[in-house]
Amino acid sequence: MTTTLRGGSQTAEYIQQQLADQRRYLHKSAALGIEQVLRDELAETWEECSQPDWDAYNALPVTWETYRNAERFLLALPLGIQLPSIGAEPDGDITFEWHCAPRRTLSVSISADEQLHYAALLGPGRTCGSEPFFGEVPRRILELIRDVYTC
Amino acid sequence: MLDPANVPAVEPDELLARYIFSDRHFSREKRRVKAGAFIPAPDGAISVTRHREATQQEVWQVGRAIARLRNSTLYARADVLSATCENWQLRSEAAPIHGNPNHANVVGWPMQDKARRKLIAEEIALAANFVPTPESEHRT
Repeated sequence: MTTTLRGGSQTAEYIQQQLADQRRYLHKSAALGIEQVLRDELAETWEECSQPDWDAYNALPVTWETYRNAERFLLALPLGIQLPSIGAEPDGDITFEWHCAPRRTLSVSISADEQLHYAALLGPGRTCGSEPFFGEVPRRILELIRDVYTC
Repeated sequence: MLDPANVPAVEPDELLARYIFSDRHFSREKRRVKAGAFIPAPDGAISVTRHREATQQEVWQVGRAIARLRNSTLYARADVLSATCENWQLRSEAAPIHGNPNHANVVGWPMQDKARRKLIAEEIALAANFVPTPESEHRT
């Protein structure tokens, strides 16, 4: 389910909220799995990386804002999409990784200030870039996830 | 290990060890290091230990000593050639410290461009050789 709905009216906001609630409900399905990822891997990442120096190289801690943004990003993924593995980076960003093969890999990180940074290796090609996160997964990132699994 | 009084510059064909102290930075199932292990700290450097004139045992000893000092767990190391870093316009600089004359820093990262740093880290991680600690090898 990919939904794009923008508008400032109360009705638009109500519909947006309803869609978000429904998507969250569907994500709770064991078959769809996002809730499981949230409960387990994201929570583990928070637990392991929310203190300074969690990597023994003076890493910055993952903040509560970053954790919440990561949760929103996961819940905004379309239903049925391949699930990422979750990690963290020394600047305190949380990372989502889709990995199919050594040169079929995508890493997306999300920061406390709602910035997404991505890098992908796709066969002989490579790409990287940044996008703001406004509550929807940018189209470019969805395309890259699909490309990673087009082996 | 290198003579602390006579530490040479890092050569392109030297192997550099990056110790891994977070299980967020590798995949046990696929036995590979993740890019996160090679993303520099906010100071703009990644800390490595040169293999030059060191035995395997000495290379592991340094990692274990850091783990004790930082109250961390040493899970593995990822070995990469200095030349691989240079291919991405990075520099490996000798930076001996007390107890580890083989210490070096990989510097020259594009600190204003997070996405580019991620891409370089992806390429370095892909070229690196993942080596679990002998202890974890026995556990699996």
